Amino acid sequence: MRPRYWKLAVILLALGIIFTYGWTQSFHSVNKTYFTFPKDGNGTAIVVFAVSNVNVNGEFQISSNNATKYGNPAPVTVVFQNGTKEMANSTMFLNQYSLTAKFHFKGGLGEPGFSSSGGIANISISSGDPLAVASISNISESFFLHHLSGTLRLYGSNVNYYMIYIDSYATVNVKAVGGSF
Amino acid sequence: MRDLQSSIETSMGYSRAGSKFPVLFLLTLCGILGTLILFLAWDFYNYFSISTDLTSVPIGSGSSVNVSAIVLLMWIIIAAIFYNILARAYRSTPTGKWDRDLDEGITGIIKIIENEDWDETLMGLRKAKLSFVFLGVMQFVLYWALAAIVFSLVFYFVAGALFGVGYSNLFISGISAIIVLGLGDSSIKKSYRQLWYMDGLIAELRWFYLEFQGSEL
Repeated sequence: MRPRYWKLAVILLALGIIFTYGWTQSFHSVNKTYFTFPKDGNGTAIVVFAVSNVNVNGEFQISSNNATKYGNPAPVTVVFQNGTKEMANSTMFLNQYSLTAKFHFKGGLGEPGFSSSGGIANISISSGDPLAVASISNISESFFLHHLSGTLRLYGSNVNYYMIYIDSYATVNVKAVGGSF
Repeated sequence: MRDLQSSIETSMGYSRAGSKFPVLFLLTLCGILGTLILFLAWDFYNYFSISTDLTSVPIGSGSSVNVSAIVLLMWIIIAAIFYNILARAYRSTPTGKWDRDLDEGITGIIKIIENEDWDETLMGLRKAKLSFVFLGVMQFVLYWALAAIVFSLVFYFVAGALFGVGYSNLFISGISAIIVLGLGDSSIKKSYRQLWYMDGLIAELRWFYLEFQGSEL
């Protein structure tokens, strides 16, 4: 390759990297699928975390897996963090969901350079990577409604979250996009 | 003289491999840009799939296509291209070009001393030394990345999934670096000796070249 073309290629690629990197930093997304199951009468909480200077839009898509596990197409109960409940039915096809629950949450001012990791949800979150999703298994509905919030607040007041609780076999896809929009 | 030939041929192999560094640099930049574009495409996919009103039509994306797996596959392909470019350049060094002359004995050796372009040989050896250091660093980074991938999988499936033990990427990176350095201890010493030998070879050839020039005058 001629030196002139080589230098031109390096400059163009470097500009492309700077531009694309800047774009990737303007918003973040997560997309994860969980399979939940009951254990000793307990269920699973799925939590979306974000550092508090980020606006988050997202949705949970849930379908019951009880038909697969029990041979009985019973719906599963989805409990939201404000205590309301909705049912998600079984679906006939893989990766189809019967219940879609959208959510939006945003925080106040966050500390720059904030980061946290570990804890009950074993998450890693920072201002550079401001979104995380985690499942917390083997907890009771009562613990979810009355105590989990307090436990999660131990991360620090500048981490916000949105969570749901499922007590049986289900497939849950969670998508969330966070940014300053 | 045959030892000298073999040492020069090996060193020239490194020098030729080193001449491919601009291409490798461009490939690395392409890889970084490709990685960023894939992550950006994944963010956009999530963004637009959330923005669509899905409440009445239940469709799911699943997460069977994991963007990290695609990125990993892309870097494995880039690493294979790297290896191919470097190995081909290293092997393209002509070997045994003094063999016929050396078979002739003293007359042949004098012919080699007279005909060889020692300026170019010395320049090639200097380049080889630099290339050797770069190749060593690249080899370390490759083993480090491989170890980090293996440890991530082990920790994810064994420590995380079975025992619920948490781990951080910093911990994985640190432990991988320590293990690669520990296992590669003899190889590092060998590389250091080779580098030291290359230094000696350059010094000896320079001396020989100056002596040869002096005797010509």
